[in-house]
Amino acid sequence: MRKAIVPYALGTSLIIAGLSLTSLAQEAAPPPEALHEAFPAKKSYSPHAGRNFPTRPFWGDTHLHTGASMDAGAFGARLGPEEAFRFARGEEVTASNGMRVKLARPLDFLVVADHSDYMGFFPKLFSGDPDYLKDETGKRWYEGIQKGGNDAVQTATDIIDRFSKGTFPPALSPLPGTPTFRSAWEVTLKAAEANNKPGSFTAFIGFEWTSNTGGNNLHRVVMFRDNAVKAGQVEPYTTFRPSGSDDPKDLWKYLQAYEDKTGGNVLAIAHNGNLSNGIMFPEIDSFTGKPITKDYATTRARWEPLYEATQIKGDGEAHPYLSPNDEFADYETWDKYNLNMSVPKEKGMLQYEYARTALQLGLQLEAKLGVNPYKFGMIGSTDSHTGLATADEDNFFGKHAGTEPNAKRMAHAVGCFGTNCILGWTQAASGYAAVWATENTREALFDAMERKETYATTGPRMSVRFFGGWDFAPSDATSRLPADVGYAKGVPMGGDLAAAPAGKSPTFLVAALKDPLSGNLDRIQVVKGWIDGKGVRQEMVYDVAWSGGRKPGADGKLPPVGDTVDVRNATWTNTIGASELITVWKDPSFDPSLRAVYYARVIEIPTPRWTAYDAKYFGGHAPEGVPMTTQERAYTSPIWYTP
Amino acid sequence: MNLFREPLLHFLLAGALLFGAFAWLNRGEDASGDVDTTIRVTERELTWLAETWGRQWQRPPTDVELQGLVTDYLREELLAREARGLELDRDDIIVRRRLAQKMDFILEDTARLASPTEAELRARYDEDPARFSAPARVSFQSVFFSAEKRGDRAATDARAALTRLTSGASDPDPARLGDSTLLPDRMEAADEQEIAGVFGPDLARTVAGFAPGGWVGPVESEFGLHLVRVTERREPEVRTFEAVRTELEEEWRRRANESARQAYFKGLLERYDIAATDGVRSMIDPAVATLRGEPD
Repeated sequence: MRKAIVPYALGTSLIIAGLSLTSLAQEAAPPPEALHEAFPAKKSYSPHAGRNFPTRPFWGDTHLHTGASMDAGAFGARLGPEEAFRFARGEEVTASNGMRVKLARPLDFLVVADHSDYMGFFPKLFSGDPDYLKDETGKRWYEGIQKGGNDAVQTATDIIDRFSKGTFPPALSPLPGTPTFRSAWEVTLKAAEANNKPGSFTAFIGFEWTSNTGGNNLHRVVMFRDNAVKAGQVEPYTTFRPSGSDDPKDLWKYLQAYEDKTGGNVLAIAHNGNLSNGIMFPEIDSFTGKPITKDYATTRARWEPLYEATQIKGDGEAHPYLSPNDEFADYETWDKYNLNMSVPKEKGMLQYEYARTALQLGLQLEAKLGVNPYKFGMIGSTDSHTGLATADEDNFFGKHAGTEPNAKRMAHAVGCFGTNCILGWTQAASGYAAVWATENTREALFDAMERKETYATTGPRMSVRFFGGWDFAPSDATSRLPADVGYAKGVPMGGDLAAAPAGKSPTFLVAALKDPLSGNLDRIQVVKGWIDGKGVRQEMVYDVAWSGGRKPGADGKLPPVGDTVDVRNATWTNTIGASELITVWKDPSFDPSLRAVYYARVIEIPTPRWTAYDAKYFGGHAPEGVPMTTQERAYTSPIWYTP
Repeated sequence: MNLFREPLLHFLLAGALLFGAFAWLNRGEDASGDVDTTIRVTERELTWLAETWGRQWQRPPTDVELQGLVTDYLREELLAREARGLELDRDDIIVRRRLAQKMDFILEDTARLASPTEAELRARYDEDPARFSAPARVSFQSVFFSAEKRGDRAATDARAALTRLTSGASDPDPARLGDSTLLPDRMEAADEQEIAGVFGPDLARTVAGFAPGGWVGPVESEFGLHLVRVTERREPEVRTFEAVRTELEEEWRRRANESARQAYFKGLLERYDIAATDGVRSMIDPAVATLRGEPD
């Protein structure tokens, strides 16, 4: 493989030299035989031809709700799947609050993932369906929604609360097989087909399975590789027994049945472990009360290659309690309650909620079961309930229609259940999914997701490469074509290393290029997780590349990069930080007999948080204590080492 | 796709064919508003009741269940007739919204049923074919000079390299000039937006305006300085009618829907007088203008 590099580089220089020569009449052209010699017969003249690895990341959101989602509709989302796709493709639309809104840059792909439970419930309630009005609760809800304003918000809260607690009136539940449910699914299928433009925009078919027993979030987005002909042969899986279930093991059966029936391809992405109260990445299966089995591990790893590590309802990469030595771990943390705020968080739950610890837990379980259930790649998505996939700080349209831009959204509750409230300012304007695919089609993107060649960002579109191998040398970081070297000498993010050559430690080629519309880069870190000789989880965060010639202090910590944010004007300058960083890093404490997992984290310099843009636009002040700056970041999918 | 829409829409639109009962029931009311005292129940009502039930339960009702449905239907109809007689449907927010919504559905679905003719689409296209231009696309090469690595020297170094590239000096290989970077050393047939996504908006704006030719620069970007050579430029290309047909149709439908709605409201506003008291009069004109689709 290594030899392939030379013709690439040679080809590049010659083709460019050739082009220059043609424009420079005074230069003599080389004799044809010289050119023949310069190119091995099998290699294309063009350095780009035959280059079959991904050369750019595609950007998207795998988790967007529209008015067809029961709760989104209740909160006033009036945009449907069609508008959601058009917005993601870069068109200007009118948000539910009446404002015109457009993305700074189109997305490359989108999954409209409306809740399967009660899919179509809201359009039906809103239309005042006679059957719904016959029900006492249905009538009360209808009237509440019709009154609008606070009554509507109270009603929506009541609807979600009953949903979370499982006390939803049976008469109001559109179930699979009913016309309401089918018609909602058909709307989704149709919108995806109409907006799927292979090569320029990919519209995925999907839905969200919303297991919420006891208010503990075990949600999964289900996304299809296939078109509506296949996906239309099934209806979304719900949590209602007997046709559905709230147990992920039953969802996996549904996914298997779908593939068996149609020959199609489907995967599931979990999110918000932080709102699961300790059951997202379990050692003890909360449904059986017993340790998870090899079958659980195999099946979960089969269907869930990715985890949504960051989104509006909190960042899920790391938690300061679990990673006390990581000064960046406390980022957009939501750790007060479970999803419906019915049960406060206890510290013991955290280890089963965050991606970093889950990756280590996966290694522990693999030693026990022979299979790693938590071998997932990372993506970010919004989970926005507005039909608008916004994750830019200066263009953030919030969690739901009630938190679309308005002068009071920082101080108002996103949701309140009883006396427990989550305030608007805590929303994170996050995130997007980056996928290293060879082209922008359902097939290429989906396949890249299955091989975990993805990363999460909290919104900015920085370009991040992460390769692992045994032979990366410092000079590879100065290569003109780092990706060529990366693929030739190693595996990309999402890949595996095994069979350590004697005396060698894993080496990583890691590089990041800033988003030209966002902040400079502060640093690249490599996060290593491993299981020590006693079977205990360990982790270490290494600063591997940083800007501005800073020196780590006596404690090994790199000094902060600084802060140029002008909060009042919601601006910053890129006078600190670096526009790109690249390095080769070698694990300094590698033990070939121990399982390990590595991923890269890229941190930007401080930039204004969405709250600063709000305060400036609406001319008000943010409530005391509200963070006004942020350090955006990216998390790559890991590379695993297995002895 | 009407089959999959809300059953009510289907019911209203295809009522005569499938759910004839609805239209038939309303026939009884005469123009004076007096309530017809005959409640007709035929096989058609029975079929309708059974079908509605069956759609929810995924099986036909049993005889007992059907009996229950008929009883419920009669009870409901009797009470509804009486209620109407007492004008209980007036000033009821739910009834009013529901009625308005039914009309909305009818309007929307009627607009959906309409299709543009070939001639209409052609005419729309011919009005301004340039509107459907694909943006200009350029292919270019870039040699990057990092301000972070070279500091103040970056501009001088870039100009020196430009001289070498354009003067025919001994080593004009651009791939060996400048600094290594994760930025691509070229883009092929990219429009301004695509360039901006990679190099930032400043360089994109500049380069999108360049004509093909030799090396020029340095051009400043978010990242540093660049020498740029545009190798090919495709001018904004007017796409053919066939290529934009789907977009034209989508646009036609959006407009048709909007204008049908506005026309409908214009008609209604001619038939209705709006008697506003002094206190609210100032708010009526803007409301009427909005309904007519007139700009603020």
